[in-house]
Amino acid sequence: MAGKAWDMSDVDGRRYRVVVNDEEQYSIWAADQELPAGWHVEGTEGDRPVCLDHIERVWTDMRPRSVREYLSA
Amino acid sequence: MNTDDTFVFPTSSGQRRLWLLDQLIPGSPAYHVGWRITLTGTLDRGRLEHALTTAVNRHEALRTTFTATDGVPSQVVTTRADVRLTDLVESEVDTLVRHRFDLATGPLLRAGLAATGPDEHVLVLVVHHAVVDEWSCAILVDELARAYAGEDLPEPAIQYPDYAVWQREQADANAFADAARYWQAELAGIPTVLPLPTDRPRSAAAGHGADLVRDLEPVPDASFGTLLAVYQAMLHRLTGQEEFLIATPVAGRTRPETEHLVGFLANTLALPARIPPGTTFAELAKHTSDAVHGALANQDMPFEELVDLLPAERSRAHAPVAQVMFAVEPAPEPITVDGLTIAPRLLPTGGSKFDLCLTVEPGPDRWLARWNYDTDLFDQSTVEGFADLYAVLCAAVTADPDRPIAELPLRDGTRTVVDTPAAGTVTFDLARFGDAPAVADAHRLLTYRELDENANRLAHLLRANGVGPDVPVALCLERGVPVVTAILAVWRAGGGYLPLDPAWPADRLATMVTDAGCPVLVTHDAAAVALPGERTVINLDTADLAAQPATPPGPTAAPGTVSYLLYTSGSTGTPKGVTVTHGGVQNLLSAMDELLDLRPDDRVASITTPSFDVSTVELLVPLLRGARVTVVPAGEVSDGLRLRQRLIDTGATVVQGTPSAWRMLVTAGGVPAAVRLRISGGEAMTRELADALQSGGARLVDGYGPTETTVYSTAGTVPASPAPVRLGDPVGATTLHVLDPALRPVPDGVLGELYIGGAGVARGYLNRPGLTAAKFLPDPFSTTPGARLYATGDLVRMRSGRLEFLGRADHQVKVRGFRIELGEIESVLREHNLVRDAVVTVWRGSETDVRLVAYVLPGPRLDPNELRPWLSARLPDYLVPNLVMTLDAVPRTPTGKVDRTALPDPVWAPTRTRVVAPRDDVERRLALLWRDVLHLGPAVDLSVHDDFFALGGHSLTATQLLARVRTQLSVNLPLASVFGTPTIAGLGASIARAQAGDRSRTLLDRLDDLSDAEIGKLLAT
Repeated sequence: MAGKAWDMSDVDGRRYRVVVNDEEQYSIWAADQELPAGWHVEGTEGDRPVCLDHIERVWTDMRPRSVREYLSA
Repeated sequence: MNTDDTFVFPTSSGQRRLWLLDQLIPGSPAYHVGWRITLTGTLDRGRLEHALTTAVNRHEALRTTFTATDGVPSQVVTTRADVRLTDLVESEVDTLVRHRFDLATGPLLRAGLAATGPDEHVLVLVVHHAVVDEWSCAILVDELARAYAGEDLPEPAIQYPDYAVWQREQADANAFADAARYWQAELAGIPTVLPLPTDRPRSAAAGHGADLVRDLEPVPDASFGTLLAVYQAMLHRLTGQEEFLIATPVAGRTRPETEHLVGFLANTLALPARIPPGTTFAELAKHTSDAVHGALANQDMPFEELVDLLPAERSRAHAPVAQVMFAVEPAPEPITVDGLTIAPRLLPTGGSKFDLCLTVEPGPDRWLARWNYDTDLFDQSTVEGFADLYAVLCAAVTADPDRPIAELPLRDGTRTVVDTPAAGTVTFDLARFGDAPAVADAHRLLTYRELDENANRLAHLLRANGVGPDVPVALCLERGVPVVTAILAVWRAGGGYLPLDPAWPADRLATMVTDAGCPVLVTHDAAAVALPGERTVINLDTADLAAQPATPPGPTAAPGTVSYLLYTSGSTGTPKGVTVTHGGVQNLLSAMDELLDLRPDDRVASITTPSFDVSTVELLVPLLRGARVTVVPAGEVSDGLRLRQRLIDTGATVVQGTPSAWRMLVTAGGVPAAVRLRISGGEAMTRELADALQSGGARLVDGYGPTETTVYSTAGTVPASPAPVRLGDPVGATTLHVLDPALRPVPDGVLGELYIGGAGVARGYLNRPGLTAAKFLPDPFSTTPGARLYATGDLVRMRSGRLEFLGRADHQVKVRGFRIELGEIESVLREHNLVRDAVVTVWRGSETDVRLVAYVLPGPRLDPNELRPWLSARLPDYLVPNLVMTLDAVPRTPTGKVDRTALPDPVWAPTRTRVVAPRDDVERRLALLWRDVLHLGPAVDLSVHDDFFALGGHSLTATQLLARVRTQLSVNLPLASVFGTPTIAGLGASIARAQAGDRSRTLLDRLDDLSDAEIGKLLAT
């Protein structure tokens, strides 16, 4: 596995939340901003590296849910 | 040299600079100082003329001209001068102001009087900046009033030549050592180029200026530091730069005896702005106010010496030190004597010393903001936008000083909501074009029917080997017909392809194919590469395709499944695989099909490698219209002459290439006229290249987009000159947003990061969940729930509904169309066991000459010469630096980042293939002069192609060189000739032309030469 593309320099003073959409794709969103439609909070909150580290661990199947369902149909 | 009437003195440092500038751009009005003095009341013209003569004769500066010996100027003061007051009408004021001064003959002051109404006159004074500054105005006007009133004025305490001598003594006595230490620390590591969002690129004819004057709502905190901080915040939002310099003028009259001295005493300081992410306005204003106090305490060191403290420019295409200025100048108070009210104000001279200068003029009744700008760079409408922005920011920082500057609201925060239609998959109905030629290369030509059947047969074989939706198939094939067949076959089988360029190092191909987990590899004998791992290999030269059915397999691809995987440079040292979907490709191909509108009789020459995603456009879009694709072999693509011939031979009507490829063709004799449609992508288009490509009425389509949003996200026909080149319309169901760091849209003209949403957005980076989450964000603008937005890292601004590309937010660069993360090359270099650290930078010689330079901190026994071959075994050619230099230490900024500005300039000399000794008498004599003015010892080999500036030359030594050329070779060359062709061979040719009386080199030519050096702004006040 290659080195991480983010590090402590990505700490930008903002708090983020780990968010997930209905396709089970992960992303991050500023904690103080309204979440766009179709996304929900996953539960992890912290600075950027914390959220990205968490996603690196938990997002193990990167195929969108609709693709996985299509393939298993 | 002294005579009864004249005395010769040394010049001040400021005078030397202005004299030098005048040699470069003779007669530029940028260094005229003009005052418009309104005289209200009954005027006695004779008394005024007498008062003026009295004032002029009090000040030696106003009786000064300049002479030069051996390229070094001196000031010549005459004992007495009469001032002639010219009668003017209002419409002649401009001419009086702009009419050129001759520094050698003088006079350097002229005055005109115009009657503008009953009991109202205007006195116009125009003086060359070499003998006055703007503070001199108040002194002159005061003395003029007192002399007009008949008052006897005391003798001035000192005269300007005394000041010049004093200044030189100060410098000789090292009196500025403390100030130098202060400035060195204050300016450490700060970039000396501010990339302003100009409307036009820089040209050589610097100094055409205009003034825009706007009312400004008075700001409660009217301190210099606060008003400057608002300007810094504005420039930060316009350019995205975190660190930059702003020039500011100071009176330079720090000693009592200079208080009433007329002359050029004003100095320029460079004030640093440092705005790291998250900085609030209150923090910036505090920091800036402190910096202003420190600067004022160290203001005596001449600007010329400050320039010398800063690291040399890496590029000659930019102007060093500071391109913007800021000043606060309260409007001068009127004076009344003998019933005459004298009210002076500064006149625009039609010049500009800086790209952009804001002067805030706080007055008792109202405030003015005067914007002086270079009209070669900016349109008035753009500067009006700056003025609006400054006013909006003044209000915003007053209302909320504790908000981060990046998030200061610049307009109301409503968000546009855009619908994103769902995407389908692309189908190629090849059979309907029957026996028309479809695709050809040097070895074969397939008709549409044959291509259809071959693709179907291979698709069946792929299916039989497990290929279906979301299965990646590696294609390791030489450029040619098989690539097209294989792409179609993979898609018909339902899968996605991974292009492997057989010319790339095997290690890199192995990394990619392993990361992608391809169960099947399609290859042929011509591209045999040994790859590790277990997988099915289909060799097209030996596979039994005839046994497969020629009919299409049933469709299985879905919009969300993988269409292709494309690896791009990754900053961590490993390439990252972008997962592009069939839906994205369908959006791209159908939109490009509509835009390009190809005809069945079109012949498309394909010159792009399949491992570059734009290849999909030239290989596949023609197949939607029954046109013919001819794949040009790799060996011909990189040779302009051969490529040009091939285009002619194949009767090509359509070609797609990177700007670099297009430039190569233009240089090789021009694009063949039959190429009616020219498509460019992969790098930013420039106006100059567009002009060349639109010759003969050919249509030019320019595309822009990152791999992550499927090839092109914008595309459009480039308008003809002089319309600026901007990005085209969104491609199909693509959405574009220019956002600030809080993901809020920014107004037109303000720099932001481009975010792209819609049908082209890729699934992400294969096996890189964290990186994918960081770059693919929830799309707050889409009505499609759960939609994502890709953060491009590209800095853009919106102008008149079109996007302008302005660079990168990170260290990603493009070289010849290839996307490069400098960090990737650095990571690979650090893997070498004798390299302790590495930094890679881009060196730009010109628009077309971009090179990579690696700096390494060597371990013991490292031979730097072995690094390039070592890198070549690990990286594709375009990632291998052109030069490897060694460092004793990696320079760092105070915050610990690599200080790229402090890296030594690359030394290109060792790369010269041979030393060409002077070949004739002129070159021999020039060589002697070079050695002399450059202080080169006899041990240094001098080649006639060596660059004067690479050998340590600068503008002053260039002037000295030309002075000697003039006396020893009796040839008068413009200074611009040294900047244009800074070699002995080039200068020798200029001398030969001059001696032959050849006038074919027009003034324009010389100005073109000058643009490389940008010398006018280099020495800006």
